[in-house]
Amino acid sequence: MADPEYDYLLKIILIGDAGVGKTFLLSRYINEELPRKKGPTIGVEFATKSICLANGGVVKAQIWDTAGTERFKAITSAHYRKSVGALVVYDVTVRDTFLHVKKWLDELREHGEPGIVVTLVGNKVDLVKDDPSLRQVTTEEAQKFATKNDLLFEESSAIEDINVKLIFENLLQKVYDVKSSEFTDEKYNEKKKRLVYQDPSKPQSKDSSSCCN
Amino acid sequence: MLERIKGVFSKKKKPVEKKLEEDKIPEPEDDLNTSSTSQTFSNSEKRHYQKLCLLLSEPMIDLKKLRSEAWYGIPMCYPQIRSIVWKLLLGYYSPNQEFQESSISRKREEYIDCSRSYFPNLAYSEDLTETNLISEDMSIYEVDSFKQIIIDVKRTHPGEAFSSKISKSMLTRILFVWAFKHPASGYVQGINDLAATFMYIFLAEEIDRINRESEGRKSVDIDLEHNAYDLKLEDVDLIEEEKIQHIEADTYWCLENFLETLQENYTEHQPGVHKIIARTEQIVMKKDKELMEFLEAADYVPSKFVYRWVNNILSREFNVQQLIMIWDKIIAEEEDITTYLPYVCAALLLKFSDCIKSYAERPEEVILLIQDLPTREWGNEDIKVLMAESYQLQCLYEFNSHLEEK
Repeated sequence: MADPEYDYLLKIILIGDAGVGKTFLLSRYINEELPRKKGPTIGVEFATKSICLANGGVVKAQIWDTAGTERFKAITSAHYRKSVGALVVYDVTVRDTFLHVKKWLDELREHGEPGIVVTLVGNKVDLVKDDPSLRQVTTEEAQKFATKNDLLFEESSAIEDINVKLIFENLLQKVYDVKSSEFTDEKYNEKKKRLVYQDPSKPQSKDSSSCCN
Repeated sequence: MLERIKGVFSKKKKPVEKKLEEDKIPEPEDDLNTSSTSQTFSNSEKRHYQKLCLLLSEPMIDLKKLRSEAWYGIPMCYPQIRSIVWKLLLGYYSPNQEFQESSISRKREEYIDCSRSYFPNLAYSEDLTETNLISEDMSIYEVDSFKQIIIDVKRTHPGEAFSSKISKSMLTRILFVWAFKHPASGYVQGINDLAATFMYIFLAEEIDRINRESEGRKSVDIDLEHNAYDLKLEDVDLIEEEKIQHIEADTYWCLENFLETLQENYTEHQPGVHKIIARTEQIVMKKDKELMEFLEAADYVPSKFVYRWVNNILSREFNVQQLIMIWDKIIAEEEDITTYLPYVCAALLLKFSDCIKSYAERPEEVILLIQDLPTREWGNEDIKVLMAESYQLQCLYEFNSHLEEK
């Protein structure tokens, strides 16, 4: 059975400190449930999904979930290459994980592609819903940081399925929009090639939406 | 220990004076015929079990013989047997039974003292949070290790019993003491799974003992299909605090001894892991060049996934019962783990060779298959076949110098 046709194949990475919920977010988005196996991610894990974007366009996302600890960095940073989008995740109840976002952005700058679209994600808001005193990073502070660093921003909960689809698909939409506008602009042809990883086995640029109902 | 076994099998030896309560093994003649598992016990398994018991009943246990007997597997139905065999083969229990109890007591005290110096006030029932565990006099290294361990213990879950506060608290202490004693590597994710596997065996052993002693309760539930020790959350609460301490100390020492030859796996850049991966690649290349070329074309070479297999000694690729059967062989193997593990990894990959090759031009399918191997559908026979195939590869290539030349 062939995959639905898509306009672009987009490589996305999930990064952030250990234990902030990257694997849960990915599993919730891809499988619509929490992961069957628990335990820290060792190295990297892969998932894929074809998506009809809200503002038009069909993309296939290849998402790489990475381990958050320093020890596996050699393995994980190799996956930054060719990524056109990144979700940088922190835990709203652990301030350190937010303070480390800057370090993760530096990593992206060092190993990632220029022009990569980044969403800042404050995960685990389910915890602060029940007990607001657990919150260690305010929405305003994170929003301000995101604006300053030109990042998209959203808070989420993988456990309660809050904003999960949104964070992935807003990111993909933005990448898609950037990509499409570059596509129409001959000047940026070179850049486009660098930004978008073309899957040689798949037909490119089909005009519609066989994955949409 | 093993007094009752001695009565059955050993006619001439003097009884060993000091006994370790938790090391008693049920008499095979009695229990095997009456327990709910007897019908699944073939004659050869029974003979094998009796041989193990006989070896364990000697005042001076012959480790070489024990090793070769244990290599054929250890029956699942009596966790006591596996517990003792692993402790002996890992060099934690002395084979000389006369000194065994004193040496174990000394080791346990040594661990408990060390653990107490870090956790003077931690009760087993307490929640594990940074605020009640991290003190101001800890170094930055200790604090960082600790934070990571707390995060990982919460998500270490080989079975229901690991949801209990007691299990979590035990695991936290074990990992922290290990990290502190091994500053060259410190705590590395994956070690949590290794410690949990030992703890699983020792908890099963104790819960089985309690169940046998309390009237009206049958022995630890055995899932006949999977030979699972079905440890319940509430079972852990039945264990006395002293026994909990023993299990914790025993887990620590087994982890310590198990990792002795694996130090390089967890030091910076993990050179040990990369060596094992390289060796695995060599073996696969020799046996199935086409598969290697296929993986290279899919841009998913073994270094990308064998990494987790090696870092976690396969604990992520199998459920805990399957893993225990694999570890039986790894622990009983004459060679150290770093020599033997590449053959197991190669055999595992080769098992899926045809399936992988059927995904021509579909690299994503290859990745999705390999990162979540359908091993949970495997029965015990599949594990036995895997280990036999590992052995076959070892026989083929272990002494083949031309493999080493590359």
